[in-house]
Amino acid sequence: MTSQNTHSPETMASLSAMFDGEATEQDIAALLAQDTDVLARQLEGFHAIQQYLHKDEQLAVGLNNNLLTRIHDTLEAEGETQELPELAAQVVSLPQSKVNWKMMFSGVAMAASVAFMVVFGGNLLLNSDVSQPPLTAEVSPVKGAQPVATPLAELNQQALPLDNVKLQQYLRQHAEQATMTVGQGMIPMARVVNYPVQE
Amino acid sequence: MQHETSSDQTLVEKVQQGDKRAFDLLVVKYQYKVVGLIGRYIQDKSEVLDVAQESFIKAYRSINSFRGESAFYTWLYRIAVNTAKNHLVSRSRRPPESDVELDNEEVFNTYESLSDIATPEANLNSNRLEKAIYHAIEMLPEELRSALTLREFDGLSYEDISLIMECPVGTVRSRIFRAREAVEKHIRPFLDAGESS
Repeated sequence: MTSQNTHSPETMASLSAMFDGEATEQDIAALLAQDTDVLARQLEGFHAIQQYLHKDEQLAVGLNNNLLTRIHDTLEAEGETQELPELAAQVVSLPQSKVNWKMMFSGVAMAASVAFMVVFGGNLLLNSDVSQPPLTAEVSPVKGAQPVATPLAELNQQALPLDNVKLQQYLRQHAEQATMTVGQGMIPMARVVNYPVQE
Repeated sequence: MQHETSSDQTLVEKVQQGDKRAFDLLVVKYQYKVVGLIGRYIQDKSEVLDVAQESFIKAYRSINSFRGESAFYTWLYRIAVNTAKNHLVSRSRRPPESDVELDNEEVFNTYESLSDIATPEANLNSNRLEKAIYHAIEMLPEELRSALTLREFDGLSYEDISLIMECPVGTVRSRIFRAREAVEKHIRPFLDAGESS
């Protein structure tokens, strides 16, 4: 990096080519070895000429490397602040680790109790014998009176055939509608119609 | 433009490899364009510079995600426009309905929207600078002026200009550079005066 205010004609030619997007690898390598501030100063003139030739009403001057300096300052400042959270995390990591053990044990205990309830309760429900009606069926103390509650097993036996019929009806309707309305469903219908019928 | 893309792509690849100076070159190359673009959305000069700075920082942070599927400036343009719009929204100001077209943006007056805050002295200097550029271009030898105007007015590549002017590409490159150098030397006092005012 050079600190001079002007560059060699070769460097300026490389800068001009870069400004036009025509720089070669060698041009870029040469420019990277130069002082960016001086290049920015030179580019300001190129920009001013370009703006004038494009008939811009007012020419821009004075930007130079101000923006570049600001960007550098911000990135450097952020680089410092990015290191700080890492240090802070290391400092608080020890107390946090003790708390995490407690929380982990309590979490496992909670999960185990929930799992036990689900498995135990599920087994109870599945293993409930049909011959032994559940508790709801036994709550009919008055003889001769109509039972208010029906045994669950009995309910299931009654409901299943009825539900199956409803489900089959629904599926049939759904399939019919699908074949009539959806394009994909119409193709099998058309094929069926076009098959020759052997009598 | 293929050359523009490959030239910038080379710089981008160097940034991706950790060469921060390559990003500096991209900043000094495109800072006027980005400032001009953002100036179409935001009136205040200091805010324009803040948003331009933020745009370049965003571009730097996400440079590894740039795959070269579009030109670097197209990618940077999108970042700058989005940053400007977000800035307006954060200030409870309504962003413009339509975006600045990339082609129109090329010829946008960088500080057009900032002219209302320009001082009479700055305006006077700007007029002087304009006249100085005009005279410097008029004084250029014909082959230098032709090469420069074909490049700047018509946006032709060095190769196309070489075909028109019937000379090697290296000669075109040299003529454009010499033209710029001559004009730049002529207007340098005005540029320096603009910086100090």
